Amino acid sequence: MFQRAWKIMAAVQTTFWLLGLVSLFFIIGSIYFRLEKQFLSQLNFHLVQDWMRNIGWQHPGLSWWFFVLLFLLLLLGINTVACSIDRLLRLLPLRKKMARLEFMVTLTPTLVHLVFILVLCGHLLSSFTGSVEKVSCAPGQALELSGQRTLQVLAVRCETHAQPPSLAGKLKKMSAALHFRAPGFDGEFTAAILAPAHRAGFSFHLDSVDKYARSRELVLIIRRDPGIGLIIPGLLAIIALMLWYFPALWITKNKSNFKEK
Amino acid sequence: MSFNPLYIPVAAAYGCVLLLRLLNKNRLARIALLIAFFLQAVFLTARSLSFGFFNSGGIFEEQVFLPFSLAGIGLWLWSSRHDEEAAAVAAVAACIALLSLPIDKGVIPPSPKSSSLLVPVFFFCEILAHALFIAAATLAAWRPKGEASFPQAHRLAVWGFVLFSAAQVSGAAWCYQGWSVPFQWSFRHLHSAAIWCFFANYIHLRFMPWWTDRRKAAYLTAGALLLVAYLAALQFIEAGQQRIGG
Repeated sequence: MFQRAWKIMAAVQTTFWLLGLVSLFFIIGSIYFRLEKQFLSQLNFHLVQDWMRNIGWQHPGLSWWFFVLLFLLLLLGINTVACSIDRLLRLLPLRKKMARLEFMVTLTPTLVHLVFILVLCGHLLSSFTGSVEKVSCAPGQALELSGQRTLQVLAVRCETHAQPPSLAGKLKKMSAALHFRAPGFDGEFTAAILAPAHRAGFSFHLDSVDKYARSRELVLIIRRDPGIGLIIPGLLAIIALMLWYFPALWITKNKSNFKEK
Repeated sequence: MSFNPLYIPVAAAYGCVLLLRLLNKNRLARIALLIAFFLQAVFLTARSLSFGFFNSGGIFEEQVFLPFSLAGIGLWLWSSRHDEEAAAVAAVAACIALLSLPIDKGVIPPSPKSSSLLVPVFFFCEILAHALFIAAATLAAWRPKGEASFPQAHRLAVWGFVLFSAAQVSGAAWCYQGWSVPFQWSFRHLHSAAIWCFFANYIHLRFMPWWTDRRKAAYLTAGALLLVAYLAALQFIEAGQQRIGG
């Protein structure tokens, strides 16, 4: 029974159906995001469990696809782990029988899948743990935040284009001078659009209210994200592995009667 | 300076490509493609320098860079002696260039949100990946002598996937800097994720023997159609964006 379940879970056919369904549910989600602007976008500023409790369960007609997508991603994660372990167990005994390059090439897809699991874990941590607060960012504003933290917006600076006439007066850069107090930290620093500040375990991201940053109205997103350290380096590692794998695979295939295992 | 009239010679050259292709004058069609590519390079350079400084946003925009990339892929196929395939990709490049004719060719002004090196990296990788996916589907579906050019199509799809993944990484880093998260719950990010999963699935098809080249070709075509539908939707969604020189 267990063996049969493992075989199904580790099968590449399962990956095929799961990836297909995940793809489909991403499309369904994207359609919902076009049609509804009030509740679903709140997912970006809440931890998933808070959003599910306060919004998702209250509007099942809007959020059903999200729950299915989370379930499918969980299954895809399990499938990737099972598939990688299964392949690794098959490959390791072949290590001494294969040429070094051939073995490295054969092993690379498994490494990509293991790093992909790390990235998924990073997204899981980002979505379910840490914290996120969104506050408006106007000069002179003082805010009391949870956990004995205070934040004061000392100044907001806007740099505009001077030339050419078609661009004159349009926003070029925006930044805010902030004073943040938290247990063990008391300091002033600057956060700018596309240049977040990192202090006392929090990151401070300056964002404009307007989607295309055409107005001077700003918001500040204060986030503690334990997953980001896995996501970006993990994604970079996947790219590096793919950039090595595909050319190496062709070289190996051209050299010998190499068959992927 | 308005860019809409400047695009007319480019579109005319692509029109010639299509006409010559329909008349089965493939050699002339490829020469017309070379001229269209050159004219579009001039057009893109003019757009990128329109504010008196280099603005990558003038180049890396889907409606102008996608046909340019496809034309580049067509020329590369021609130079590597895949003449039939080059002519097929040239026709697709011409169709897309002509379809984008009614879209305002003004340049989106640079904003605080676009002042990062990650932005051109993201758009370059994403649009070139789209071009590779469309070219792969074209070659997979194209059967001049009854046989699809499948190994070539597969190669293009694989490199499209690698580039699309690189776009996801640079996009995630840009999104983290600007919006505090590496993945946003929004139409654009969800659709990108859908396309990534769709082509990640394609990479896995070679481990399933019942996926013949013919079926894989159908799969690649479905992927290209999904992509084109998304790009069309995006044109409507972003139609409200301010442009200068349109």
